[in-house]
Amino acid sequence: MKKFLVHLFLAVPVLAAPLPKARVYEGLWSDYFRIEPALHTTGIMATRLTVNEIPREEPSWNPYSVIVLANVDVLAFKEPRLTRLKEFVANGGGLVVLGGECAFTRGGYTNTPLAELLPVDFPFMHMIPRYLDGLALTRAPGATWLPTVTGSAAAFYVQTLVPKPGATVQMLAGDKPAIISGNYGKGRVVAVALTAMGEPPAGKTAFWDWPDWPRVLGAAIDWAAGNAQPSDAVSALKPLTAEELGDFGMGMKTPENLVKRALAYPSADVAQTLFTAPDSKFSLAQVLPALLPFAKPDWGPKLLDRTGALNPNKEDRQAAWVLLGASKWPGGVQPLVAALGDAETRVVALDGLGLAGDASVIPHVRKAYEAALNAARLPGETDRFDPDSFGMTHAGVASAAAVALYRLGDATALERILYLHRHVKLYLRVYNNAGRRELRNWADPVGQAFLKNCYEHADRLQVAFAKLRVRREPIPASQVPVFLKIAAAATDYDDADWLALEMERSPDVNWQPLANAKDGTIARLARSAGTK
Amino acid sequence: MIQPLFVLALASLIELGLTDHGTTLVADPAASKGEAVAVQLGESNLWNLAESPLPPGLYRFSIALRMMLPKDYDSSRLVVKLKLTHRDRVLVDLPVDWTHVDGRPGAYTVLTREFSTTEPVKPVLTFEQTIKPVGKGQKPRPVQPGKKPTLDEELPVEKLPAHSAVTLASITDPVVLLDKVELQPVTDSLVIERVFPEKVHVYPGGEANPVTVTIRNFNPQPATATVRLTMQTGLNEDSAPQEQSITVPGAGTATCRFDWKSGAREYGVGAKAELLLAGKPVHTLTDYFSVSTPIWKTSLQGSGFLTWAGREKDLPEHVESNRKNYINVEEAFSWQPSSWTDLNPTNELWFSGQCDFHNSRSGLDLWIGLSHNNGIKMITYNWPTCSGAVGFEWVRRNPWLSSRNAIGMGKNYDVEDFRLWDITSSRPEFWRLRQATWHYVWVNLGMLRAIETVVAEIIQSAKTFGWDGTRFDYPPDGWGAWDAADEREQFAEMGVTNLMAQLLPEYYGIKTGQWSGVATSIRNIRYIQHRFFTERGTNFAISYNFGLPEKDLVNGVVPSNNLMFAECCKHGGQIMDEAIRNSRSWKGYREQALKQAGAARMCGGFHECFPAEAASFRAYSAIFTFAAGSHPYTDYGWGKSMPGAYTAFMTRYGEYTWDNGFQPIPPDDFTIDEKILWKPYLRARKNQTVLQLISPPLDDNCAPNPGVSTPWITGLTVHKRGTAPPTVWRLSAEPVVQCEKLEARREGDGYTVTIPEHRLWTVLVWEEAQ
Repeated sequence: MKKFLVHLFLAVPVLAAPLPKARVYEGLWSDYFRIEPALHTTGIMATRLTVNEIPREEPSWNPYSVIVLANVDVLAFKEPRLTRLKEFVANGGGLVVLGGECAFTRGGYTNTPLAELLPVDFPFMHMIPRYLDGLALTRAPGATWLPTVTGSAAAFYVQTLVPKPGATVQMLAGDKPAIISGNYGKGRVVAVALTAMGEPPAGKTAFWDWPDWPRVLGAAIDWAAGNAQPSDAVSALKPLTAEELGDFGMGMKTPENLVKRALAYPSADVAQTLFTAPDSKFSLAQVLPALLPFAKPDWGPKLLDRTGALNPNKEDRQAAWVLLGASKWPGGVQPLVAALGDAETRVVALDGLGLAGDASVIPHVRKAYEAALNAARLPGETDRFDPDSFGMTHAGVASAAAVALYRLGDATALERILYLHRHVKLYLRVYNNAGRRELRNWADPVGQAFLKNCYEHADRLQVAFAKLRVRREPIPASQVPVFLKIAAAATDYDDADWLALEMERSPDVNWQPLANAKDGTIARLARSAGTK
Repeated sequence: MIQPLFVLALASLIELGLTDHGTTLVADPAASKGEAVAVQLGESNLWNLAESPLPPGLYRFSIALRMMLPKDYDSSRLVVKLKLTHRDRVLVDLPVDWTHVDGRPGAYTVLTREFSTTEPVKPVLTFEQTIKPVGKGQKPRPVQPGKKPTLDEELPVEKLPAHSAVTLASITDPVVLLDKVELQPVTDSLVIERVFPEKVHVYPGGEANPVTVTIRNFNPQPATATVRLTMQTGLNEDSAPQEQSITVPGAGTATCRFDWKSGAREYGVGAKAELLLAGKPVHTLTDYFSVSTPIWKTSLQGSGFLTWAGREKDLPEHVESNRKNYINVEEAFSWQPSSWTDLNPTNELWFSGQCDFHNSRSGLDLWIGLSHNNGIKMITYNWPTCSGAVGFEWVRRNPWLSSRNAIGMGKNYDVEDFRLWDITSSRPEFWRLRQATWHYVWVNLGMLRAIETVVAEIIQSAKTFGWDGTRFDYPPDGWGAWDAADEREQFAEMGVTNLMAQLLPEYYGIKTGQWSGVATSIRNIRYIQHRFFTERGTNFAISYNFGLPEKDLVNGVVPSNNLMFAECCKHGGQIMDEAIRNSRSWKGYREQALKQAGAARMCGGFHECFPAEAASFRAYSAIFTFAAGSHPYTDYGWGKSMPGAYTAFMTRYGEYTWDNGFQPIPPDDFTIDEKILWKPYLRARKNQTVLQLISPPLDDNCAPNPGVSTPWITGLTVHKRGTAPPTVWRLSAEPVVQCEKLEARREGDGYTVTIPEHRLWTVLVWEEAQ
């Protein structure tokens, strides 16, 4: 089930971003650096993950222009990442390293590629020097890119970093270098000696409470990102040729890597060939993303047949429901509405109805949305849901309904999506976090059942979350006015993230009205689009 | 006039009939009349014991039985339940396992219980069995599943001809042999139903502990009687009795209350109530409590390892169970938001930083309040880490007071968990998704300010919640040598220079070079003791989870350089031995208990043991702990069936194993059966010598253990050289608390006493005129 739905909604190319993109690794107390406000102030899109979430196999960093290590030690960020990081920067990427008990000398950076990359040396110290009265932060005399700052702020535990030749001190803490920048190969690196430790005495403001701090850190990340343009990985696969498609269509020969190549290079011809291929070759679910943009009304009757009980393949049946809607065959709408009544087909019927484009079904979809949330709501609560039923069922239904309403032009859809986006994200985080529990006794069946339950819920919520975030098509024209209104005023970071994604995949819309949006990412995207 | 109402010897049992559920008449010379009924395991049976209803009254029920199990049978997992019921009401619940029975070949064990009824009853004897789950890592041995007849099934009554008795040798299935059943009325008029000292423990020096005596009248007419209360201490130190006249309504109860206050005398007190009718005693009942400071002197510590969440609903029953089992001190384990740095939560609900136990202010107040009402002291656990979200926030603010790894702070933290902490802890729907984590950073025990942190937290917490003490689950040693100048600088920074000069006269003069690790450890201990005793009084109990390595114990003697251990013991400190829980052999367990407890006692402190966790014969954890002069930590299985009333016994007579005044003496003057273990436990105080006679388990493995019952001994003799005629007291917990004077007869070069019955553990107090 999960695999199918992930195929449906995740394997979707995202349009190239006009903004810098950061991949942020967050260690202990990194929240004190106010990275998220810094990113949103400056207008940098980011993928953030904590040290506990660093994947065993790191995905490509091609989509990113800058890497941020926020108090992360080499036990968490270890080889081959460190060598890859060196290559990333040497080839033009950016790096920002923030201080703390897990950074520089305390983070075990000595004698690693990080020591070579960084524009500073760091003498061994077991304890980070403390300054209980605080060291005042000032713009260094030779600062180049650091913005002018106002007010005063202090740091209390400051690591000792010695600038290498050619490095530039951007900010001082007392007379200690606090922010130092330099180049490595084609890339740019920033070292921040400040740590999030200590507490300010009366009358002093810690730098993390300083209103200017997000601008300072944002500037550092932005400078490190430079002009590096993120790019998607180039597929090693080749498109299917007309000859291969012809042979395949006549049942003569199945091209090598047919499904992968079809997904990598979808086209109307590919879609038609796949759709008319013998049923037994593969299920519709496997090639759904390659078919969806090219579904046609004349596929409708055959698709309706494939939704029936005679089709033994459940995934195929479900994909047929989605395609039935995407085909926009008029005869498909009523069966799709009827399919809302069946728990097994409800989500795919909502997907199909959203793609069918018939606004007359909006009441049915709204009803499904409300029913799902009402069923999950805790008694007497408005925004709190039973995690079990919300995670396993209702989040998926509500998300599918919200996206369908959005596609159908419902005026309330965007708010519903943002509402769900916030809540599904929270429940997903809670289940992911619960699933990281270590059992004291791994033979304990109760503990194992608990973890299995967590994984199942996290999988379902991940699918719902992906459905909310990742669509193939740009914003529906009917949603633009509502979008502009909401995006201009958005201040919630989760909302802004979603809105920025939508802007990113809709480059043909005039986003100029959002040039002064409250959120820096939205505003920068709007300005960037306007200059194209 | 008390008359036997109903005696069911073998013949009577046959009159009731054998059931058709796997019963057989067996010829057994060891049975009282040469025959017994064999009940096959895997079957359950019911017998009516009375043809006509028994009138209201107090009754004594006894049954003699013998387990006859194949050699490889896993008797350690078998629990036979003998119940006496009347309709749905259980009159007697008598769980019996292999640890309760006499291990001598062919021996029958007589089990006796009293029960009372306020309505006419027709008792039915039920034979059931349960099979305990297989222990961790053990393979099951063959055990037959049980089949129970329901009460709705007609009870078969069938006479079995005498000539059908089979021989013992012909029985190959596992069976329990039932010999005779007795049901005897004790009284049908007035009875002492309960003697209840308000508290199970009080401090000496004037703490009140009133005793309430409840009298029940089984007759429909009101009755008047006299209640006499005598407070008993030592072996034969009786207070002047107090008497009250009481009128008890017909078919009802009445209570009378006797005031009592503690004096200087410590250890066990028996509140003995006698019911007098027309000036003659007709019934006696005694209950016990102890008097001591600190609590460690007489401590019987319960298990504060409670349910992860929702414990509030269990607390009244939990405390009641503690009281029933004479538990007089309990530790709240890992209840605090941060193990060392936050013992003062201000919210109603919170999760402990260590392992995410859910807690509430109201629950803690309830637990401590109910315990204090019963005289049960409550101590708080602590561990030298900053735990959970609040602990890590403390580390962020005080990085120099915490420890760090060579690289970073170790991987033991979870940024996302901290981010979600407040959300998941404040929303009950998420509670089940956040259990069992423990994020921690060690505090730097070399910094006195880090010690002051926990001291201040505990003192404030004690003021708020009422803690009576604390246990350092990790001894607060100083970790290593420190620069003398740094030491003096931190004293000055903390404003304790003069205090430390007083507390550390032998070290304070060291101004250059280093203070040794021992010096900083002693600094910590003395500072802790000073602060607690100054702020909370000298009753405040302090315990340290600590054990001396074997190399540091030479014949139980603490070498003079092990000053920290000795320092912990001073001023009534307790050493708690957790490591002993991993014992695999009883020899290892008892020797470690003896050595460690001996060392603590020698240093003037008290000692406490974990039970051997793997043990199947749990009573031996108790016996070896008590005999060593140590005290129990957590549940040894008191609430379950034990072959003795050990906690009641130690509450009353613990003085004779616990008092540090008793010192080891050589065994040369005594002669005792060589099968008995006694020499390592021989101790003397003034004119009293205490002998502890222990029949060690036949299987020295704590577990796995097929369940070999220990043979009891009748007529065990103890001889001591000497010319002074002694007074010899036999004390025993098995099966109930007993104290009797034995006749000492002149034999050969000394005096001899004979112990009528010795089961597992007998204590003799041998008094000689000085």
